[in-house]
Amino acid sequence: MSVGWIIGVSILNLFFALVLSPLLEGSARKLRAMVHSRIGPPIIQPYYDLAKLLGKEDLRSSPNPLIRIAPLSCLVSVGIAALLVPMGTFTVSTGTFEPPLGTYGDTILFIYCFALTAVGTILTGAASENPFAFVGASREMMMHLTVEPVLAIALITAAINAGSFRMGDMVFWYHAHGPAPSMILAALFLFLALQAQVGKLPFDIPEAEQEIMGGTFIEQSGPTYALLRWSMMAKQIVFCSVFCQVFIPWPMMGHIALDVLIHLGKVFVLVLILAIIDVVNPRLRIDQSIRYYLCLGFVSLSAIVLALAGL
Amino acid sequence: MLTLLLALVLVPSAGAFVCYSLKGRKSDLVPAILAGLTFILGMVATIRGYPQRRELFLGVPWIQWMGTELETSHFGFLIDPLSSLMLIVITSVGLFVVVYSTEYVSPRNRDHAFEKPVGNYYFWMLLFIGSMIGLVISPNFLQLFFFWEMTTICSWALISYTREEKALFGGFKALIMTHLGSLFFLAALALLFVRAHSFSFSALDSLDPGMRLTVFILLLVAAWSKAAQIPFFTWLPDAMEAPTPVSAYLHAAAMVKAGVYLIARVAVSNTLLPYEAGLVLGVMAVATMILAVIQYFIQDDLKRLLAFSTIGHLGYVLFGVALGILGSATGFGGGVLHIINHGYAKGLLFLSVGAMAYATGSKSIRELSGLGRKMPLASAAFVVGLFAVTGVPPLSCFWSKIMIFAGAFELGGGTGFALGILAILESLAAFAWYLFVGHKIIFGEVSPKVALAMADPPMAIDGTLIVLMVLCLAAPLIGYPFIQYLSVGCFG
Amino acid sequence: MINFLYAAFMLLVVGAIIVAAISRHKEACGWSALGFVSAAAACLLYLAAYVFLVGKIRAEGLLSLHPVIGTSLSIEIDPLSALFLIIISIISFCVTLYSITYIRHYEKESLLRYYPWLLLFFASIVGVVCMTDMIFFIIFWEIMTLTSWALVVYERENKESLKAGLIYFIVTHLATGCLILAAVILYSYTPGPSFRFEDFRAVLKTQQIMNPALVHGILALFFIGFVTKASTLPFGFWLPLAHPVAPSSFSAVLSGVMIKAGIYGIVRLFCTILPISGSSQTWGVIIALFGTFSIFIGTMSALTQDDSKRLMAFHSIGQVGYMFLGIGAGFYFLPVNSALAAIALVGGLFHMINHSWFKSCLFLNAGSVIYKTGTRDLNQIGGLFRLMPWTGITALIASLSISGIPPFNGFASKLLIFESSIIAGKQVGATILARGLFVILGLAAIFISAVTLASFLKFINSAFLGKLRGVEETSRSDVPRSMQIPQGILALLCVLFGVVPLLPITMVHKAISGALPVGLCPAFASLFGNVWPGISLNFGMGRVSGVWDPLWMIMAFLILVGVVSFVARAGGAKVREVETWYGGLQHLPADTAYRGHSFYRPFKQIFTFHFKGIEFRGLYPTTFPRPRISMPQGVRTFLSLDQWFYYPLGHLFMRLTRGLARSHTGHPQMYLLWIAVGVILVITILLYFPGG
Repeated sequence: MSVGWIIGVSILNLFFALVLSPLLEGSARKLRAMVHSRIGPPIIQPYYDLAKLLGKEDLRSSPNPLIRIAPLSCLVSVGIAALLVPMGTFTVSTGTFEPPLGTYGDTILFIYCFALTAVGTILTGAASENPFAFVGASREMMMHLTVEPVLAIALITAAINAGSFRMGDMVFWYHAHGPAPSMILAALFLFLALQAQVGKLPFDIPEAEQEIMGGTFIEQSGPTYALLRWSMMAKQIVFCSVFCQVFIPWPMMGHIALDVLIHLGKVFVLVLILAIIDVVNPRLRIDQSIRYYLCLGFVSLSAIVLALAGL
Repeated sequence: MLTLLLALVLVPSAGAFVCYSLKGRKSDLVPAILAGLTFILGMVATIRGYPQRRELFLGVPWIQWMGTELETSHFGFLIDPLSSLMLIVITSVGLFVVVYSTEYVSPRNRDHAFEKPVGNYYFWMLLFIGSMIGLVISPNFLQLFFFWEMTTICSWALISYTREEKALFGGFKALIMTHLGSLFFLAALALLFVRAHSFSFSALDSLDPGMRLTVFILLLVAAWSKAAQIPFFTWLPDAMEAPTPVSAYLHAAAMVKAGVYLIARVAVSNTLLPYEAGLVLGVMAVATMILAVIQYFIQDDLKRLLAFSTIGHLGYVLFGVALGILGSATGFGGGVLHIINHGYAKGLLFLSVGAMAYATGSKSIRELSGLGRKMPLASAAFVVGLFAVTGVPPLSCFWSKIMIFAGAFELGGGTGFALGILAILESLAAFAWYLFVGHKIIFGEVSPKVALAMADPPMAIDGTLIVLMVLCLAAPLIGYPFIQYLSVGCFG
Repeated sequence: MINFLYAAFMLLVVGAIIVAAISRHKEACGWSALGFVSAAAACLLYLAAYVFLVGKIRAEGLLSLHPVIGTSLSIEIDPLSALFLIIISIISFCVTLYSITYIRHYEKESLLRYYPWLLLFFASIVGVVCMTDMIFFIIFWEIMTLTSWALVVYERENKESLKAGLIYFIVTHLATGCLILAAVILYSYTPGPSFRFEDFRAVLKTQQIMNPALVHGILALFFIGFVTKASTLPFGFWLPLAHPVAPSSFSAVLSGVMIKAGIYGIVRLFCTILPISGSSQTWGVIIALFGTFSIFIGTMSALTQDDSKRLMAFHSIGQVGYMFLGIGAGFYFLPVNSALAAIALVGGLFHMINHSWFKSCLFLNAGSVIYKTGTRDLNQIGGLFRLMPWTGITALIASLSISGIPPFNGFASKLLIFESSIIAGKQVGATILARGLFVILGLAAIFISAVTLASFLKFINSAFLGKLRGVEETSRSDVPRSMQIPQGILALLCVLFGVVPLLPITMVHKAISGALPVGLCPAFASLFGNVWPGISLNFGMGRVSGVWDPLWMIMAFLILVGVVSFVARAGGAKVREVETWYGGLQHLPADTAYRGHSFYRPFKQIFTFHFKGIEFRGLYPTTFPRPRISMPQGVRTFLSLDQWFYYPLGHLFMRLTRGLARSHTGHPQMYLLWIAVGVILVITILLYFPGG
């Protein structure tokens, strides 16, 4: 894996995660508007939002330096996670589906990057010294606690099947072996977890606008708020990419541009599905959500069992 | 050497008579000087007699009329590693106790104010030291029996010293029970004379096996009565009516050790003791240990607790000796080492409880609390004593206990394992309870009785406690050279 | 070279005596203690470096008690011991430095009961890890327990301290009793007889074939003994009682050093004393199961704690579980796949080192909070970051480390543990049950890692973030320098070991390969790859299964940070300070503060229930049954032999003599009659029986 390839694919991944993600978010908003029988904002509205926010006043409610640092780490950790996910790139020379930083970090690092994101969100809220932010932080942590095992179990099913924790190996294995019951089950569970991962209804409890006035984001404004919203959008792309690449790695043409476009298409469709679920559902309470995901966690162990059995 | 040993017996005994009629300042000073002199003589004798076994006789045969010119019925002395070890304990603890008594047995004592004159007390105390020394350096059973009975009388007198009703009853009970055991000793002497024509320690070897076992059992019963083992253990808790230095000396460090010394001496000198002898000794010793530890939990009086602890630890010594008879040199060494280790540790415990009683007037676990703040030295002494006695390394009794455990398991077989495990369990239970009692009386808030106490007692009491604390650490080092020779001599 | 060990030991012992003598001058006492400890730590570090670079050090038969009892003082410092020496030296230095000013918090208590015991504790634990003879091992082990007990009950009048100290000492003494029992049983089988580790090994080798039940019994005794000290549930229930009440500097030592002695015992037992075989496999599973049980219950319970030090104590239990998971997996797979086993063992021991750094740092942080505010209760304090930024930063670093957030050290060791236990699911030679079990254990560990994160974010949020509560001053005045520096050192170590994990992993690998029999542990390069500066894990399944390269990832991170900050600043937004917004109403911060116990309420409620009258909060019982000692009356009567034997006998005797006394009537005529009857009787007998 040459340095040039690494840099090139990194730029590609970051392009998708950072530059393209507002576009997909905009599409989701457009779809939502259509369901509501409205016209809705233009598809590039999120770009306008971010640009506006970047120029707005940065209001500080506390002298704590963490207010500046934590949102930064949120977005950057999502960016790092993006670099750990293959997004349709296929290396002809080695025949693998390695993500750009695949030789430096594996799936466990991927899972923990999102822990870092959660830490960033929580510290942002706590550092702002607002009690609503604390409530949001507590909820964010509980969501993370209960959803992360499902993500981990799904990815570990793939890891057990492939015999390796490197995401490229998992994609390669699944692509070569064809559909497997354990992987289908794991895909199902991951899909059920996706909604919470990307922070959409019915699981957008930590930043419940109506209930706790934005939760951890209550005191954020201007550039820091832009970074936080951007990280939410980027998370969506990264998670959908993981889902599509690891659990639906077909078809693979062998030509980079085609593969990337196919991948983008899959991600787009998934984003729209998530948006539809978001539109038609109310918000769950935190205890309902915890119960739901703890049960889901237990049930998802069946995927592991199947993987161990070799299916 | 002979004169030295003779002086060793005579100085305290004669000195007792000197002290009887002293009054005033001298009545404290002279006994202390005499005890110190005895200590020095004892150390010199130990060092000069190390490490061989030496028997010396005065030229005066004194049981001529028994019809045989038996060499062994002459009056004489024996000095060997076992008796040297006992000598060290007796003379050193004797010195400490006499110095301690100069302050404790006085009108200033809050627990029981002793009125002057106290010449009587020192008379019996020094006489006891003399008779105990005589006991351990006796070369044969007959002479040992003579001094054995002397110690019984001294014990009776010292327990009843305060002349209160409970004390008188306690002394009387002790006298009767230990004397009962002495009757068995007398029977053994008679059998030995008739069958073996000798009172020598190794006379058991020359008997035929059935008689050997019988004589051993008779001596064993005598030892059990003296050392307060099953079934004679009831006199020791009641003997705690004695003044605390007496309890520390007679009923922890010296007199009760006479019983175990007797059995150890029999084991050292006779190589043909039967397996059953060791088995009976061992099983009864462990049974005594378990019984003693069960009784810990219902005691409220600190001295009664320590009395039961002494009963248990004497069981340890006898268990070690039993292991020796059954073939384990390690166990035997551990048992004999435990004599010196336990002597210092239990002496320290008793004397610290005495200091607490001296200052607060109470020995009850319920009434005492928070002593750590009021009397730091006595509390520290109690804590050191409790760790020493329960076998927390690197303090003394750990070494002897580990040797006993190793010896028990070394023997192998069901009995060795079972007895060893019971001994370990006893050690753990004793530790738990001791620590609980220690926590209760030393830590925590200051209770009313303690708040009214005077501060740390004077130097006579404090100094003794400090020296004993150091000895609790050093005791194995002192005892080890003697154990070495003991093991090699008998089983090597 | 062994003289360095003696020098360190003597420095600590002599130092203890000297500081005891000058204990009245508080400042001088503290600084001289620091001097002695630093000198000893330097000697130990030098010794450890020598052992790692050159080879192990032996000294035998120093104080021989043969032939009385088969034991002698024998020292062996191999890389495993050297690893522990490193931990001991650094933690001892940090803690002693910290104590100099921290001990001012305890105004009423005397220093005589603190420094001497602290120094003796360090000396005893140095002894524990260097001995190769069981009796002396047990001696140092007990001295370690004794000195730590003295420090746990430092606050003599505090009921909580006393209760904790009592339970602690009794429970660990019982565990030592198990060790002694196991040792003497093995002793009885040695031909020597001897208490040496090598001789025990020979015995176990033969007995494994002849009498496997005996071997399992001995291993069970050793297991109970060591696991109680390492505080694995359910044997480790003393730890949440004892660690909070000790002075915080000593809590750091307890969690950072003393419980590692238990782990040392287990590793030494299973690597060096027990030959690798089926029994080590069985016990590997048992260790891993107990470990995961601790991880789960310990950390869940920690989530419900509002006392800062009790929270950390429960986390110690949990993290020790991680270590045992790694170690247990290692021992299970050793005969099957040595590469997988080696990585698991390295993971477990690496986590042990990391835990020493971050847990000690956390306890020192809690101590700083106590120093400033006087309370351990998280519900009463808040917003301390303003006053104590340094403490806050080190606490944040240590919290992120313990939660396993990259790039800190916790992540590196947890990575090894997770990956080895999960990839075990793919292991060909093992049974399906074992494979499934280890996968489940690994998943539980991952889940609990998130719970750890939750718990420590609660700690950080309650104590350091939020509005300032619980303390009067408003100006920034952090804790004294001598308390800041140790926290800084430990946090720095967390960062260093996280960013360059290759160095500690090399050391740990060397320790394991030194402790295991020769040739059993694969070479470093075959396990961790040659890709400097990262690690690429090869579990012996023919491919690289996991990678972690912190330096490159950090570089990527920093590049991204640069890019994103540039974008953020590109908007040219102005900064303005405002008041906190409470939704349009005026509130006092104290009224609206989000307290510690409010965090994660719904989650905590799921794991709180009642069972048989005991309340389980976070799956841990809040009350323990109190042992009631009572003796039935029948036993009491039986035991007092006087009542039913001696006194009745005595009374009988008295009645008999009184009866006989009645024959003395006082009439001379009666006496003459007796004499006459007697004479007739005697003459009859003499005449009747021959031989007269």
